Amino acid sequence: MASDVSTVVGVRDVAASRRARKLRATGLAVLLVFVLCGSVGLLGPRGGVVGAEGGDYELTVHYTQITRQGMDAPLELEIRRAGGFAGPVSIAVDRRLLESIDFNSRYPQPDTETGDPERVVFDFDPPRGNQLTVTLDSHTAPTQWPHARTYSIGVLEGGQPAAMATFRMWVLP
Amino acid sequence: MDIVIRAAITFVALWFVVRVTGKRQISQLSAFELILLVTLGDLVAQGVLQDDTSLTAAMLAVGTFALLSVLVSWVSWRFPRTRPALTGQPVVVVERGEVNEEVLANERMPIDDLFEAAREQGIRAITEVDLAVLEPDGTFSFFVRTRERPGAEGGTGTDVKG
Repeated sequence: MASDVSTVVGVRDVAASRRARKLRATGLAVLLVFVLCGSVGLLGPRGGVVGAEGGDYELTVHYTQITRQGMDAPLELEIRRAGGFAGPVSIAVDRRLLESIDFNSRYPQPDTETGDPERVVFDFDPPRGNQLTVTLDSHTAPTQWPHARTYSIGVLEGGQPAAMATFRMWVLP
Repeated sequence: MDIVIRAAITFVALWFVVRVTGKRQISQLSAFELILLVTLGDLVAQGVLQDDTSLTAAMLAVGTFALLSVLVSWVSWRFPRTRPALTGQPVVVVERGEVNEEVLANERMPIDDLFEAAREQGIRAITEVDLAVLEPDGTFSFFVRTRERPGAEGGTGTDVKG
């Protein structure tokens, strides 16, 4: 009966205290690594640049490499063509990319939009110079589950990909 | 990156606010002060996270606060001279049965709070108190005068905390 009313039942001894200290130190180390990763942008947001060349086109894509649910995920496309553009510029964007990010606005607006199950094609009026820059102001859809997917964006010539850039985007919780 | 910096700045600002507002424990807060405290937490959350509602952002803010909290306690333990600045110092509020009203005024501590803490320790009159100390966490420690009994020599008093 005396043991039932003891106030020192479960009180840790020195050895248990040392073990607890080691566990806490390990936990703090994990926490420190996590915060350091966040400090250097490994947990987003982090941008990347990828390029591709083909035909007479040079394509540069500024994309969001690591993002989180609901965060801004801007996309900027630079298309250059030596000697300028003879006709409308067609850009094909992976449909899955458009589904995983919400677009607020596009500059400039495309003249037409067409699509198939795998991609959406935007047709732009040819610019005066030899470079077309398209900015897509967007953010990661808040309902996205964490994932890492590879997407592709390309310039079409005669309906066929001339320059195709591929990049990987990580969405963290 | 932004969240870690904002959380660190907020931590320092909160520490400063708590240090300049004085010693008060949660149990001594009035209903209005308690609401102010909750509102302060809400404002701080908005300032740290802003529009970022992701789980990672919340974990980063919590992690930064936890690490800085551990850092402050480690600095306080490793360098005792920093302790008064980091956590505050205890002050004597009653000595030999006399209340030091200047100290209570400096701490913006109502004398009623002192009386209440004394009552909770079964002290009927402040004259029974040899020494009362207002601790950095806002609690009072009482050293009660030992009543002289026939045939007994003087005692050292009793330490009770309230």
